Amino acid sequence: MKQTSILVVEDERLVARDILMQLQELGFETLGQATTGDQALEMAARERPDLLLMDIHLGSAMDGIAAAQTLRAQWGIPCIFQSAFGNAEQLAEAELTEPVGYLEKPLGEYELREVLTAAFQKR
Amino acid sequence: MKKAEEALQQSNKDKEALLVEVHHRVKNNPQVIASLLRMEAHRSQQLDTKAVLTDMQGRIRSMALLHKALYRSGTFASADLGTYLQQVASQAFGAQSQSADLVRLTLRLGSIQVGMDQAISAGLLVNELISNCLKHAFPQQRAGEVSVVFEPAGAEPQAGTPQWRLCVSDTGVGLPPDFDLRRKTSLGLQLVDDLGQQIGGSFMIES
Repeated sequence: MKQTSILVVEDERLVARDILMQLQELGFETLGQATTGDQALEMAARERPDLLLMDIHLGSAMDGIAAAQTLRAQWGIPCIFQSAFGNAEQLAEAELTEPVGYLEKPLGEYELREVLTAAFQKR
Repeated sequence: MKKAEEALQQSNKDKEALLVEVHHRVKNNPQVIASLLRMEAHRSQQLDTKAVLTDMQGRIRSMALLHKALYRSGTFASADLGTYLQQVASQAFGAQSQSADLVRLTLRLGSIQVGMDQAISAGLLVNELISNCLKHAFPQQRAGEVSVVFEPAGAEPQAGTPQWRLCVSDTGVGLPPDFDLRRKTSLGLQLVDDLGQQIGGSFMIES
């Protein structure tokens, strides 16, 4: 059976490495990390992941919400957002992209597993 | 006069930029620290080392939760301790419980506003005690309950300073016969003692 593939979009490389390790331990195929919105668009178009794990703040012109919106419209790729406690306005904006999950930093294995399980049940 | 005004505007801009950066770091550093600890735990072959690094992640998470609560509420001076402890307890239990079907968590938490220093200490304290319960109270797939109660102590508050009782208990196997000896060498329990004193309280263990 084909493994579910996930693209991690996270501008802190060290945090991205940790998330990739956790995802691999949970049995997912990881397609590497993108650190900017533009890079996320480029990698997702090339790799066509089953799911995006997207940081909202990317420290680039295009934030995670805009990148997720584009990728959903273009390729129909579902997204789980991750953020260090975004404000209500930001969460409402993220909600418009119909994410399949939301993770708050700092991420733990428990939360990651729970949100991924719930996300795949929704699909 | 114009120069002074420009200097003042620049100073304000610098301060705003500094504040944005401080907020960003306060929000993101717990994740960076937790990631470093988890990757080291993953790399280590020693079970003891893995356990210590995992404990540290729990402590970092309990502190990060307070920042989250403060940002959400928009008030940085104080937090509702009951709400915060509920989040800490749920997270500590979810992250560390090996047998979620067998052991359950019950919470009864009153509401009181406290300063950030007190909240951080109380959060760390609850995290340590729940961690202790889950490590020692339910060996060999034993079923049971961990309970956290936070309530006013005594009928009437003392003048100006309400007294509260925080009780973390379990229905597990009870304390081992050599508990007094172990207590002296357990960092977790020494921390609980220190944290209890930090918030102006006293610490009692019963079996």
